[in-house]
Amino acid sequence: MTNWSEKKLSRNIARGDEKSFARVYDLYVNKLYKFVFLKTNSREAAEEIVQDVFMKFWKFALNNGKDIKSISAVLYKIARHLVIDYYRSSSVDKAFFQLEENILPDGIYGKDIAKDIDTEYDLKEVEQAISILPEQYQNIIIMKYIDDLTNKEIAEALDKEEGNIRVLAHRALIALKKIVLKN
Amino acid sequence: MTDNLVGKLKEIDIQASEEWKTTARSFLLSQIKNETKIQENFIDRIYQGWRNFAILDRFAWKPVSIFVLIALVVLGGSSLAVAVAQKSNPGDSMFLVKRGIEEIRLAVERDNSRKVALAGSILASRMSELNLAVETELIAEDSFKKDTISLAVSEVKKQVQVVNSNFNILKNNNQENNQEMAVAAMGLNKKMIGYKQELKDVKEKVNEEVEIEINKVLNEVDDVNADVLSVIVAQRAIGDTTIADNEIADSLEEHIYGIQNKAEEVLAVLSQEDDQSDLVKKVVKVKEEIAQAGEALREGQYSLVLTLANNSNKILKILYGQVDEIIQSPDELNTAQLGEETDEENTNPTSTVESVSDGDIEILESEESDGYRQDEPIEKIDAEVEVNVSEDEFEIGIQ
Repeated sequence: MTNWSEKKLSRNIARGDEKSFARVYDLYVNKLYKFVFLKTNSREAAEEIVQDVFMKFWKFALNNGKDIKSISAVLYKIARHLVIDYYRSSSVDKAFFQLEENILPDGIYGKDIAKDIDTEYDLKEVEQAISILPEQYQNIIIMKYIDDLTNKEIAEALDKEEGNIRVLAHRALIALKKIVLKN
Repeated sequence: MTDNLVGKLKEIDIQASEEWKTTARSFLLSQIKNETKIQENFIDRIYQGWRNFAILDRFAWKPVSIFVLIALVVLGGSSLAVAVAQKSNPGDSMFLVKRGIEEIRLAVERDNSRKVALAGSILASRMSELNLAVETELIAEDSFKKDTISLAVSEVKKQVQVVNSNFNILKNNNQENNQEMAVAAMGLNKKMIGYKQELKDVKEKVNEEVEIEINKVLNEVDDVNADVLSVIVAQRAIGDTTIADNEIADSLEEHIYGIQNKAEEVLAVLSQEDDQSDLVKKVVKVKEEIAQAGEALREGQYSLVLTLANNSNKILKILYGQVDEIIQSPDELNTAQLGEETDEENTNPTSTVESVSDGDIEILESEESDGYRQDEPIEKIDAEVEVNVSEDEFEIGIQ
């Protein structure tokens, strides 16, 4: 979506325009569903959370008092927090919160990873590996490689500097690879 | 070296069902119709114009200008203005008007029972505003005012105090219709339990500074609950069966469970610090009392449960002050001191502790509103807070 159309949508939604809201829904529902599903591994949870995301987005847009600069950043931020709430309030096993980002030992760029260049990955295993990544890596993997968000959009959604995203994405990918290979 | 993996990630094709997407879309579109946006700017400009007109606004004119604005809104103002004020949140210019309208509504309500209900529903608004402020800050893109959550917390605290004082008025002036009071008390108790949970959820999402403020609000909520439960238990002791026995038991269980959690929280913080063994002993003692309260609950001795619970709560509140100090400045903690008394603590209404024995209600008034005195050494408080329990008779005394 161009900056211009995003600004227009944002301005219209802030004025209570339902058609613009519906447009945002159509644009982002699939991406957000994928994002939440990969984090919760539950269709029911994903459906409930994504619906909540859009409702909260609408309320936020109306009460924000100014135009939203990046619709995707706001939507993903809401989704992220709702997933955290989901794990906090339910008895669901929150494996990915328990995994620390230091799962990568020294020498992560070393031979163990390099020798697997030609590995054939199983799609299901990759999905499972994503679900047990540390939350930050998980966010970046899904946003960047699955939902195709730009580094700028990811940075805004995660409250990080754009320059850090490239580095974090690289680390996240290696962490993911490590988990897949371990399995 | 990760090209294969990136390629595989691109292949992940998770799709929501078309049926769900359509249903959710229709549902959301029907829901957002209820959240109609009211154009605030126009009214805000009128209000700003009024403020600019009142040159002495910063001084004595401010309350007058707000009062006149409220009067205009209440007496002759448009419904749009009222609606805008109703939609405002702490930190908004129109929030003062909203508060003013609420205060007027409370002031003109003559029935004490309805006053408590009204104060309770205003508290519900404050809680919604707090939740909205927290959510907004989590989502905010950049320049969101960070103090909005603190403002919202402080408004919740004020309203809890309003609820408390109105409930005390009801309690003191409504001796003839005790059943009505018991029903009001039970309703309030249920609401307070809900708010406690909401406040705990908010605590998880805010910084330490706000967390400490929320702890204070939670203490206020506990005070209201203790008062409310004392009325319910006293009614039951004189044979009032308006409130079912199991409802009372559930409420008391919830109350002691909350205190038990508080004890665990305090213990968790203290265990991370050195040289806190005296304080740890106090918490352990509190936990023992809570266990006794649990026993008493199983035996149906509700008055005893309340006495033990309230006593434990008082000690924990003192310790909570200590824990907050540990969090804020671990090096400066003086275990002999219980912190400085704040102005806020002085503004609380005087609390009462009721001790019921064989149908007699004895009301012992404490000197301090919160039942705890932060300016006194812990040893002194210890000596003064005693629970004497005999088989048939017991009383709590903060003499």
